[in-house]
Amino acid sequence: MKKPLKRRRNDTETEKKAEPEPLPAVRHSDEPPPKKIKWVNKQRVLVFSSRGISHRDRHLMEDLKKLMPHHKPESKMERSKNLSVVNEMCEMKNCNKAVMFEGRRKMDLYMWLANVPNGPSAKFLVENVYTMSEIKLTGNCLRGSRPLLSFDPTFTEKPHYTLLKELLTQIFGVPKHHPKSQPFFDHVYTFTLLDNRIWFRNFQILSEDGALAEVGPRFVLNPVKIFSGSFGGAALWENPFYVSPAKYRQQIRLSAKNKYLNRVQQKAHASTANSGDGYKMTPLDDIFEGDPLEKAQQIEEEKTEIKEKPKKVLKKKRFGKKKKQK
Amino acid sequence: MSSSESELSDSDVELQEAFAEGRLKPGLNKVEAAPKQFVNNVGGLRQKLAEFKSSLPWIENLDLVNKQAPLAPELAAQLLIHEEKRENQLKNNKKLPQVDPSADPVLNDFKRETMFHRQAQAAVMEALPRLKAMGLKTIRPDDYFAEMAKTDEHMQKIRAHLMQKQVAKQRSERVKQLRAQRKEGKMLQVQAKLERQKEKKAMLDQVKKVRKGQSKDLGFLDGKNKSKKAIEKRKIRDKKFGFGGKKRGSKLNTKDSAADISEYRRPKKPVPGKKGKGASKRPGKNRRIKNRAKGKR
Repeated sequence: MKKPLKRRRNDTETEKKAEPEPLPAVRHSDEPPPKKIKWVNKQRVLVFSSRGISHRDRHLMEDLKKLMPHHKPESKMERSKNLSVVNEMCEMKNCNKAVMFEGRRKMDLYMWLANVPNGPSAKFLVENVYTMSEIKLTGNCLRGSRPLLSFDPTFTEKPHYTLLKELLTQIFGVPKHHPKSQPFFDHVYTFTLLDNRIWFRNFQILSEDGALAEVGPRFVLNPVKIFSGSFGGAALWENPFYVSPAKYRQQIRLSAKNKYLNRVQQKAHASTANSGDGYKMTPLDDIFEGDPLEKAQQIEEEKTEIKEKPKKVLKKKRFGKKKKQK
Repeated sequence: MSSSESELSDSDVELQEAFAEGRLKPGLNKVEAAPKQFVNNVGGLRQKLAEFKSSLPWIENLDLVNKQAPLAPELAAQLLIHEEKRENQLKNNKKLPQVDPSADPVLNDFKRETMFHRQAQAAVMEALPRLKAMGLKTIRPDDYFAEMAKTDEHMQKIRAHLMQKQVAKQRSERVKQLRAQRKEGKMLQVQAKLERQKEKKAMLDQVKKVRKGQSKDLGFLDGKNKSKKAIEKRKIRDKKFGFGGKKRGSKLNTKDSAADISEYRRPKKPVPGKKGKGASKRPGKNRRIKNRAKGKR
């Protein structure tokens, strides 16, 4: 009894599908375009730097921009400006996240990651930078494809690391259905905690069974401070292991100085300890001094003198003979 | 002047008071800076995290927390090779800083990078099945062209560099092999020379012994390499075919050999029942030719 009933319903459905929906006869230009509801995670990241970063650091920034289709560029910021200006810049550019590079002393690079309107933000020292253009990194990935973000289990253990994990995820993760993104998954970012630093690597997925090739860039983030506001506010956490690079270099210089002092002292000590000529103790060394012929004559003369007192200079006489034989 | 004096006296008074209370101990006292307090506001961190944590589903963020994948056998092998190579390097070049393997920065670099690699592997293994379960495409089809992070020009450069490296490696390997071969050849040569010298010496020793009458054994002249069986065989053959002496005319017949009829056997009488070898079915040649001529006609 039931079977025919079911079939009939199916038939009606297919009929419905087969009919294409007729377009409306008239469309008004005032009508708002249909909204894309797929793009939900609207992260926009302002990526820029202050003046005075080195070429390598600039390349690193460019690489990050290449990998983040949801970034917005901004021209270099004057160093004299207060950092809270960045909040306004982000607002103008319609961004809710910011990555800012800050160079110091033409050699050190700091990176600010911030959640813009109301915090938190974190300041890192960037170490060991390798850009994507390095030749030994053989992988390649689509420009703007969505990366998998892999975190070390230690990121879940401490509150400041969980906060950093959330911040990194929101900044580096490419939103789904972002217009500039690609619909495939061909690379992984790894964030690993090692030696109190966050190590960043980017790998291309070659095959599904876990074959990888590194794409780059590489860098290490040494966290300095976490602030409650964006680019300011109260400090929530400070890294007790952080030593500023200037201080570190100073330490090295100091140790080198001590090394030099030590060496100089040792040298002075050595020169005073064995002064004088302790090696000139061989009694017969003077035979080889001067012209041998003259020496022989001298010895001959002496011999004649000796005949009167032969006992005393017997040794010398023998020498004379030997020399003659030679 | 007066103010500084008064300050000084103030501090003196303070010190005296402290001493009277027993807070000061005799000897020199140094002012110690308080250790720096590092901020760690756990409550604030938690609150801030709760404030800005995204509540979107996993697919919007793609974040994963994972341990390292198990060490693949080929990776383990590579690690081992690397370790061995490094050890050799340090052993052969004393100019390099000699460090033990646990503190070796180069080796540690390699280990660290493999660690990251394994973590990425684990992430791939975890995430891709999850994405597939959601019905998302993960692999880029071959006919899908899009702009890549690195330009084709750059990739070409990388390829050229790799090729160059490979060629250099091959060449160095070949040279190494050749060198090893030459070394081995030389060694064999020297060994053979020494062996020959040794043999010669032993032979001369024995000859000397025989000459002095200390031994009568002349077996060493036969060569020591031959087995007993071979020597026996040689002896029989020598007896049969002769050994040494004059060869010319030795095979000619002599009067005695001609007269020797010891090997002569009288031919047997034919048995009447057996007729020759038995009639063969094949006819003689003439008859066969004739037959063939008949057949052609």
